[in-house]
Amino acid sequence: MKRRNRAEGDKVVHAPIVVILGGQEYKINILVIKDSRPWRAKVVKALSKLPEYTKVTTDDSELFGKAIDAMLVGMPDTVLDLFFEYAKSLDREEIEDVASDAEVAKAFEQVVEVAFPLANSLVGTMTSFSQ
Amino acid sequence: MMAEWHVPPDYIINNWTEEMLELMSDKLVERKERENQALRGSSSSAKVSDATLFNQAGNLIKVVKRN
Repeated sequence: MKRRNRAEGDKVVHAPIVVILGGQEYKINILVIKDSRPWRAKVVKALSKLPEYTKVTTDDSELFGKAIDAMLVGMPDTVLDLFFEYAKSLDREEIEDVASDAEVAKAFEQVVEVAFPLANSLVGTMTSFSQ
Repeated sequence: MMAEWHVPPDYIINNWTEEMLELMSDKLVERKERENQALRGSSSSAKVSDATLFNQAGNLIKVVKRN
C-alpha cells in the first residue's frame, strides 16, 4: 500500500477525501476519533482473519500496509462493507452499479490512510518525550 | 501531551480526526526538538569573551558628548 501525504491544511480543517468511483468524484467526510474507533476495530478484526497477518498491529506500518493489500485481494466483500460503513454519505447501490473493483480498492486504501495515520508518529512522539 | 495542547482528552476524541492527532503529535515533536536544541545551544555559549561582549554591545551603546 503506497501512502500519499495529505496537505497539512487539509488535515487541520478535516477536509474530506476525494475518491473516484465509476469515473466520478465523490467526497468522503473524515470521521473524528470517537466515530472512527469502532470502524478501526472492525478493520483490525478483519485483518486478523488473514492467516499470515493474525497478529498484525499498526506499530509496523510496512506489515500493516501489506496486510491491507492482502485484505483487498482476499476479502473483497468485507472490504466493500467496511468502505461503505466509513463512507456513510455515499449511495452504495448507485456506486456498486458503476464502480470497478480497482476503484473501490483504491478508495478503501485512501480511507485507511486517513483512519490509520498513527503507526509511526505516536511511537516517535513518545520516544521524543522520553529523551 | 494533553497538557501541552491545553485541551482535555474528551475534546480530542470528539473533535479531532486521527490525522489531526498525528499532525499535532508531529508538530509537538518538532517543537520539543527545537526547544532541546535551543537549550543545548544556550548552555554551550553561556560564557562570552570580553571582546565579544563589547563588540556586540558597541552597536547598542551610543555615546553622546555634552558640554
